[in-house]
Amino acid sequence: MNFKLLFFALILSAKASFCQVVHVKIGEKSEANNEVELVLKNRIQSYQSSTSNPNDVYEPLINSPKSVNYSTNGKKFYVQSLEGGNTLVFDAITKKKIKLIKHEFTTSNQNLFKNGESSVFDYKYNVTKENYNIFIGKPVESCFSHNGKYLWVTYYRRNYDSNASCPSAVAIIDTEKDQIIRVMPTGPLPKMIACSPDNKSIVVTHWGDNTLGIIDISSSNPNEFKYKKHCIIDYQLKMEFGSGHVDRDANCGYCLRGTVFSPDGQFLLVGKMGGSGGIAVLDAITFELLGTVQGMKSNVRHLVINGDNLFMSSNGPGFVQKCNYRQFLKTRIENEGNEINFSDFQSANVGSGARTIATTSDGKYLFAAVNNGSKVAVVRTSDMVVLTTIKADSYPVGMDISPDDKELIVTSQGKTGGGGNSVMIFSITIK
Amino acid sequence: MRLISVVCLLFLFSCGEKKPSSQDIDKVSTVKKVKKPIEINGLVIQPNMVGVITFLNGDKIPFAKTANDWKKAIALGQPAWCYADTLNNKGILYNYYAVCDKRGIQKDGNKLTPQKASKLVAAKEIKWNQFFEMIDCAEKGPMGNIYNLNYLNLWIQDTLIQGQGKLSPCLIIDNKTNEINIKNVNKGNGFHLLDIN
Repeated sequence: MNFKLLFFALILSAKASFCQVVHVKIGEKSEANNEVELVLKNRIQSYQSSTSNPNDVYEPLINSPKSVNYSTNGKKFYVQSLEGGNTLVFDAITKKKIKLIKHEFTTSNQNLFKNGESSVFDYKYNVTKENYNIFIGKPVESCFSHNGKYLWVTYYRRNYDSNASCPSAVAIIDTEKDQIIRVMPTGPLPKMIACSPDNKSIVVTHWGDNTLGIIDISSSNPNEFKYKKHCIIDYQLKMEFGSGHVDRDANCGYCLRGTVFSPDGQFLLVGKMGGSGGIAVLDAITFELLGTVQGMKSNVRHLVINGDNLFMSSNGPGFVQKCNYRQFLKTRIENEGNEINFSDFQSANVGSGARTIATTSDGKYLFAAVNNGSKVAVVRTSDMVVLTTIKADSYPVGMDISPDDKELIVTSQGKTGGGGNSVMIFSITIK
Repeated sequence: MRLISVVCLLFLFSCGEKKPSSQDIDKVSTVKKVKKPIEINGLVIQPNMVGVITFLNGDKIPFAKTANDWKKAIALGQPAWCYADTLNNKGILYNYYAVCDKRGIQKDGNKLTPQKASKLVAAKEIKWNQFFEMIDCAEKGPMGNIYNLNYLNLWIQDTLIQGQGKLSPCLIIDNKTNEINIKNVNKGNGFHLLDIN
């Protein structure tokens, strides 16, 4: 009997330690090394209303912050508060909140939907509503277009679409006024979004059904932005989930995520987190699928191109990898077949749960949000060595580096029963 | 017999490498200023890519205007060429069946053989990008689309393996880093030709 009690206590203790939510103190420093130092300088969080440090700011609107983007001039940063249905805008110098952008659409702001559009590419709703455009959007990822004038924010789903199987939407925010000026429909469950280097196309990557929506943004008038192509990556996932709840984070086909244009604008690369994995390569002029490149670690999540290097994070295995993007693409275009192999990668093991990655502007250092390990890893890209790590609030997921490479912002998402629910601002010192 | 051979040879040389000027093509090749020949490890390289659209005997090489034309020619095992710069109709890429055609595009002595390719690979110090331009690096894959990733793709005539399998040897020069390698690539690719003797 005593043995049983002891065993039960051990299980409880292990579970408690596994689920323990980490909150790091302001002033936390990265492990000592000779090249890069991170220090937690500021935090905006929603888990502790009274704080002893003035740089640890309570902000109840932070509700599972999924991603963050510095404005192109570095003066502001935008936090996508997924479960809060808000985008929070902060001054990058003072770290003060300067604007709240609500993704709530009522009868009073239907003018944001051009001609009342609520779907595209013949996507159907599996719920019946009088007006599909009355909803709260759950902002997940974002990107800038027109040299930073517009911020595009994808909605994971509309609040009434519990299985994320209906058309969702993308908001276009005018960054001068920090207000939504238009909302366009998307396919189901859009996550990543990317703007072409020539500012002519926006790609909305639908995690939900193996497709991409391509928007023509060549006009300077947002009302003239229009869809020009629907790209299917191998096959379109059918939205046949029945009436029960479905975990759409797992039931998503290829679970398309990381999306990046090659710097010359010739190619679009899209990471396949699910299925057989790999990176899909498309012609970025015609948006024709050229096929998939395999050979990297599985569960590839985030893609970044800096200089000649393509960097990628592999979530489950916990690696970041790099390769020469020109060689990678050359291998794709000079070979036939839907799936081809490429093997010339260099890897660094940062720990399981490698989520968003970001590089310094010169590409010498890479930062990785390591969700499972509640830490940020710093990788020297010349030899892909992990230089140091720093503890972070639980479940770090999104990140961005200031244009001057002086600060790294990391978001820690919420989870059932707690979670990070914070936005951490680390100073970066390159020695 | 000897007389016939001499007549044939005279005929061949009199045709020479006909520069493209036919009615169906307005502008072809000669995309840059004429440069001086490059001497590397005993080889003399003419730095302008071959830009003819006829075989040495004067026969026209079929023009693959579209990606589908290109794919069709590959599928049928027929010679074809296309522009490297389709917007400005400049530069020429040949398919495998054109460069391997018995009628020849280059004189035998000018072809890049495996031996010559090895000599070029051995010359590690050469800054290739001082000789070549972006248009020289246009490449066409088996799907018929044209891209430019800043690599030169030079066909190597390897009589030992020619016609076998799906691959053909190619000298690939990274015109950004000057790295040079020999690689077997899909025969459906487009190839540039350089006169090297």
